[in-house]
Amino acid sequence: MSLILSIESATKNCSVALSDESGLISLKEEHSQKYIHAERLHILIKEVIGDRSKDLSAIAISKGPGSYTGLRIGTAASKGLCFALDLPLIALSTLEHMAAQAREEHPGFDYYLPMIDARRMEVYTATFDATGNTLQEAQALEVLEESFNHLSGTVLTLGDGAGKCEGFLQHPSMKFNASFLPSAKGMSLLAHSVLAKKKTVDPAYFEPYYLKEFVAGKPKSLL
Amino acid sequence: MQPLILAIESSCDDTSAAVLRGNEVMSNVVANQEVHELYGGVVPELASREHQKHILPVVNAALIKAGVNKNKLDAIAYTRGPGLLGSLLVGASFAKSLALALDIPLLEVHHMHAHILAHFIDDGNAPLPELPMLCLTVSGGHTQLVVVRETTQMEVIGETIDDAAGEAFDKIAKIMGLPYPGGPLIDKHAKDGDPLRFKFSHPKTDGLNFSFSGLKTAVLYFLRDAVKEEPDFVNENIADICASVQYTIVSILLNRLKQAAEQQQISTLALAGGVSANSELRQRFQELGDENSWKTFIPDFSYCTDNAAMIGIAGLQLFLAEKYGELGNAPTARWAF
Repeated sequence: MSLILSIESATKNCSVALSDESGLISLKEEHSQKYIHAERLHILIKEVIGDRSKDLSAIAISKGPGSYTGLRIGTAASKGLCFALDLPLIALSTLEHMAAQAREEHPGFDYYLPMIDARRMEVYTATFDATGNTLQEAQALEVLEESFNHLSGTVLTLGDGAGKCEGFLQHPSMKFNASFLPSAKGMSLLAHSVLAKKKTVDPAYFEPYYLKEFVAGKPKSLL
Repeated sequence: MQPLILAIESSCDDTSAAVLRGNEVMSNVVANQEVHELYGGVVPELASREHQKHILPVVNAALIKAGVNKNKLDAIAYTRGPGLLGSLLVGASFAKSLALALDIPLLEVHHMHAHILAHFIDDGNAPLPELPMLCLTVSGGHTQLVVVRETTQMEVIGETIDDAAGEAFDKIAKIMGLPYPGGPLIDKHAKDGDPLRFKFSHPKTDGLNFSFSGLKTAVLYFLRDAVKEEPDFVNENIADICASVQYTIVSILLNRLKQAAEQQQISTLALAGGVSANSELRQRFQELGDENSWKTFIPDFSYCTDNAAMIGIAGLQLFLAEKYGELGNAPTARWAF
């Protein structure tokens, strides 16, 4: 059996899970209006691992897209655990594991649209079908009323980005679940097959998936 | 057996890790970030991302260099603040994971305490300072006069009310069009210049405090006017400008240090922080000590700029006092001395 610790910190949900192939063993998560990861993440990790750190097979991290601060804390924390315990790292797309969890908890839709709020009318989103195939890769999208009208069938839009799209997107059969949060529970659904296929990454050189290029201003002459 | 401490520093733009056995440094690895040169100053988001790339290889290198197995460590020390929050978060989150997974204490170090305590690293070839000691800490973010009564009992008796001395060096260098970080370049150009050619007035501050923003503005206006008359003024006079600016900053610093030493009647003086790598400051500090028969301590170049060895020696004091940190404590960008 392989035991995996999953860490989800890409949004305001600070979430940690322990799982094996047969499912979730333990889940601890807390969310609030502000980021609490710097205070709470390691406490949750400690509670979830208990005395089983020596039994772990891998650490899984939700790689983004998401909040830079959230990803920063989760990534450095998972690198530290991998280094201390000599474990491989599993990097999962935040949007992909959100869709995996939604398919399990809310089956029956033709399409799943996880959405993470990226301020103003922008969201980080990707499109998945009912079997988990990726139809549209992760993108930072400026949402328009007709953005998803090409999807014919039932659509579940989920995540904090769904909240601001509800009542705005003009799709005929779209449901919204704005209270859905990315969770380490969803990661547990994908992590074990990634480990079985040995598609782990090197924790030394792993970087989060920021999605957007960071642009800083160049200096101007002062004289 | 002396405790074995792994220390991590990530408060600004250098990622560093060190291993100490007691107060001896077994390794001190520093990865600098060159990405900021393009932008004329440290870009916080980019600094955080660079730390994320460097943290694991740097810690690994420090352990390998020291020949220490991570399972033998007694504690993990890290910089909790002050500094850039995003940068601090990377070191803090990594350090907490190590302490948690290795099941050893976490030590939360104050970056400015650490600069001063670097003087208590035993490198085997110089006597350690006696206490009480008066320390002038000068860096890109801080300018402080600190009385050190014990290694765990320090008091700030004077500090800058605006820019730090190192910030003044870098900002003035930027005004002159020198690449970032410009402070060391001012030192380099000043070697060939006349320090008395251009006069800049000293600030009027209360007590033992400092101020450098007025000097920066004075240099800006002075150069703007000069460039209007003579477009190539900066290039043609760079050595004299640099020498005059440096002379002014060092004079402001040492006047206050002398005043503080007399007032506190302390005869052991020390420099700390990145600007203590400045050659004129080192030389005139030494001369000030010699004139007054004060004992002076100047850190080794490798302990002037940000480094994890100093975090380790500060962590050792916490470890010996059993002042352990907590997983629930977040790093803090501003942290009272």
